[in-house]
Amino acid sequence: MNNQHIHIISELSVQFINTSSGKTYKDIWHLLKAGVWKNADVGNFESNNLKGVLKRDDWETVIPNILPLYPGMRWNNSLMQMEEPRFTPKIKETNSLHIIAAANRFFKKYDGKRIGVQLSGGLDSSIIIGLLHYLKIPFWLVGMTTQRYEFRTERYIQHLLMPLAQETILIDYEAYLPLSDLMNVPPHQHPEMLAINYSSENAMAEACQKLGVEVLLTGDGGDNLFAEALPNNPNECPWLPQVFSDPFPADLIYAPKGVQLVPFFADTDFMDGIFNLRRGMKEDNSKWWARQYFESILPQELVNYDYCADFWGLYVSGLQKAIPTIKELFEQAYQLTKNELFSPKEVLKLLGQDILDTKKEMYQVIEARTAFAIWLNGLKKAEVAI
Amino acid sequence: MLSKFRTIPIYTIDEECFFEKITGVLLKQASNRSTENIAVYSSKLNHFLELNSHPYNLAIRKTFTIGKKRFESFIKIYAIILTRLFSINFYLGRLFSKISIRVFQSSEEAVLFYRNYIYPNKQNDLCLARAFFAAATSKSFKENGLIFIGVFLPSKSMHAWIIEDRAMADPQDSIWLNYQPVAAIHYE
Repeated sequence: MNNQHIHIISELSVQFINTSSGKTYKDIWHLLKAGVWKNADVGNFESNNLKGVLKRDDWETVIPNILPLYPGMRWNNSLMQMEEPRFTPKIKETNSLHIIAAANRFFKKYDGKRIGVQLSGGLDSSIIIGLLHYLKIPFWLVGMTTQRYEFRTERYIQHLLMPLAQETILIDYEAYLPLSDLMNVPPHQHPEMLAINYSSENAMAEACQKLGVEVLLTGDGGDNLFAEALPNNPNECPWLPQVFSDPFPADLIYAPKGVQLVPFFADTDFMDGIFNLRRGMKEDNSKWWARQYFESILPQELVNYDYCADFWGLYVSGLQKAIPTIKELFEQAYQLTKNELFSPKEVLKLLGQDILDTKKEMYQVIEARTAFAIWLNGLKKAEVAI
Repeated sequence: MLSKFRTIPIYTIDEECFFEKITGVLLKQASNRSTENIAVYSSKLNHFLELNSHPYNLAIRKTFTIGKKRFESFIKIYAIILTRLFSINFYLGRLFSKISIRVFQSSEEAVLFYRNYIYPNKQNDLCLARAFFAAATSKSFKENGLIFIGVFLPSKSMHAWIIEDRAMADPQDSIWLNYQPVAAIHYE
């Protein structure tokens, strides 16, 4: 096995469980080397993807008898099943001073480190930027941008917020579309959906390196905190902070570049505060509550309008460009596994569809199968799959 | 009568994308024009294109409710015929929408009426009929409104919406932002 790859993947925060014996593995490279990858089930991987991360505890095994144990999950040895503990907020009086104090405590954890924020131009990351600015904590910004028509409001907000930062790098999304640079995805032990976004995440991690950013805060989890309906009873709180972010980019893309990727909204104090403030409120997909609550630290445009661009167009373009690489990956996957789902006939059927048609179901299958083929390609690069 | 139908071709590096006004189909053809749109539009269309390109310049929407309308059944029948004609052919729908019954104060009120009473469960597929219904029944549209038909490039997905009195007329439309105008219908 290639030692450079071993070094990278030994840092993974994901562990694995043998679903028959309940045994925990820190890594499964020895099993992969013994050939368990040959029986991996792409069908189960596709079906897990359709179930989504919120039902990770219901995922089927992709590698026979092996389930990934992502940070925050636990294995119930008596029931022999995966469990996803829910967050139970503490009930307490909360006002804006408590929220600011919670944010300050969170930022203080990274005292002495250079803090970066992903600058998307959307509400969630803008709240983090607003809090840092309010607290007079210096920060750096890194974001993807595009001249596409649908991103005009995001671009506008990005340019409004840039002057608040010490320095900003905006990266042209068109050069790092989803599904690009697939051959360079680092080897990993288990198929991961986010492998298809490797290119843009890698560009962001490199930009962090250039700026000297050591901790990059993301707005992941903002959709849960600000949009989900919340019960009065904290024991029924639906939040699963461990799924707010995915360990794949954090472990395999950012960590090797010395950047810690942290979802700000998974902070327990901050979650406590928001739960107490939004307790009993209905679903709020436009996040009007958050827009009003954080009014004083946000650009007025984000307070008064709920615009949000759809990333769909970027995915369509990415897929259009990536088809030759995907075909190559599928061909290799067929050679390695002889799985009919990667056979030339199936590939023709899958990629011969009208990809300009906006059927998300079609994309979900293509993306999952591609992510699986990327995993096999990584194993081959690491000289595990031969 | 909806007097002006204007196509707004979109030029990419090697393609021209335009809306065909009889069939209502988006067509693409090879083109070596630059990405800049060279066409000259009326001042009204330019004003609305500017608003559409800078959504933060649009007026903030107010909450709106619809009151009881006279001849409500008649309006519903009109809306159903219009909807069915659009499902057959774009031109037929457009032609029928030239019969205007201006009963609503604004397009927003008309859109809400349409959303509430005309196939409420199928509204995701009825943007075109909804926009033309509003244009034909709003008292304000003639002076202050414009229908846009747009495409979410590079996909083939299309959408129609109205901007009236500097505001988006449909409070429930959260997708219009993704669509780039390829045609406009308005009064001069």
